[in-house]
Amino acid sequence: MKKRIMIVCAVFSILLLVTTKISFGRNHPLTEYDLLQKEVANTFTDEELDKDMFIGKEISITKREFLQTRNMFLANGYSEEEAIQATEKELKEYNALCAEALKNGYQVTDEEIDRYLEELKKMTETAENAEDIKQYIKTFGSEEAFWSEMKNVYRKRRPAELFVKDLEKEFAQKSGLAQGTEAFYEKWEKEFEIIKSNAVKAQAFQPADSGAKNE
Amino acid sequence: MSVLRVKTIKRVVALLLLSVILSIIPTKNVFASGTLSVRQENITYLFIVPGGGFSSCVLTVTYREKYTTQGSSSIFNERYRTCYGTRTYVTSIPIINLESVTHRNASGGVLASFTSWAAYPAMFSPEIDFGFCQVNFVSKTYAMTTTNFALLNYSVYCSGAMVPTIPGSLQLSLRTK
Repeated sequence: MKKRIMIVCAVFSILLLVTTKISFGRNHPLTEYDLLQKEVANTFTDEELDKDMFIGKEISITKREFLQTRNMFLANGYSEEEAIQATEKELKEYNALCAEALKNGYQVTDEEIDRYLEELKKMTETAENAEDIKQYIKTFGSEEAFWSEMKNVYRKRRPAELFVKDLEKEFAQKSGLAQGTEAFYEKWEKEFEIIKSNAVKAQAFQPADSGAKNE
Repeated sequence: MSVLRVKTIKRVVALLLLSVILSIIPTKNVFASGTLSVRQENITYLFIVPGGGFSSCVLTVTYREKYTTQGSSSIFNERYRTCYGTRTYVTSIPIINLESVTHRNASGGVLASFTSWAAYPAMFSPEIDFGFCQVNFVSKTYAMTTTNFALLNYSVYCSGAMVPTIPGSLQLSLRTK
């Protein structure tokens, strides 16, 4: 009888150890992201990654962009299905706002991008989460590769940042609420959702493999 | 001059001197006031976001406690938390969550929690993207030599970002002597 109790206790302890290890054994999101990005690099060629996945009226979403963002959500613990849904929503909104910025006359020169990236470089060194940022930069292979990629990213991103900043300021003036307060965020988030949704509708994104062409 | 008149004058002078002396000598119930404050300037938060690049937030947080002293005690009856900064984003907004402020003893035990905050008017320079100040008027009394401290916890949250929450905190000693 004593032996049986001891065996049951031992089995229970082992099970407890294994489940604890499983639940706490998940990698840090950035480590997970690095692994997923490596898998993408090993699976697809550059040519394949540069192909469009979604085509909008003025802007398109590449496979590279899509997989990179999907990997971010997967690394954050989303399931494959959730990650794909979130990626589609985020990238359509992001790209639609980039297109809106250009339509509204927001443009930046290469010199302005270089100056902004210099600022950003300093920020990556002094940020509270500098260690995470360092780890993220490493996923690009080298610092040089990272900043070269950022130049491409910010050619598209920077006009949209300036556009959205002005939209928020305009909304704050109209609402009479102080930017940063909870009351402001609540109203601005609702308004921003409408702006994003209208921008996505205007692009009428179609999957590239559907054969549909936006003109 | 009569003797009586001289005596009266002497008494008046004595009374005047006494009142002057009494006003100079410190007594236990003398009131004084002051402000304790702590500030973290230009704290940078970068969030890795969909589409590539970062949403950023550069934040300055200030915490102040106003007090008056009475005898060997400090009465803290006004506290202000101010938060301002700049930020850039396209779709993922970095949002600052100021949590309730607590007064704690030296071993970290919570003595008081201040959950009710009202907006307080504040002016910020035009380069600032957001800013606000809040005030709380709950009164708390501690010894002037207390080891208690105020703790303001906050976090910056950016929906959709990889590692979306970054916490921060400010600590202010409540010792006034």
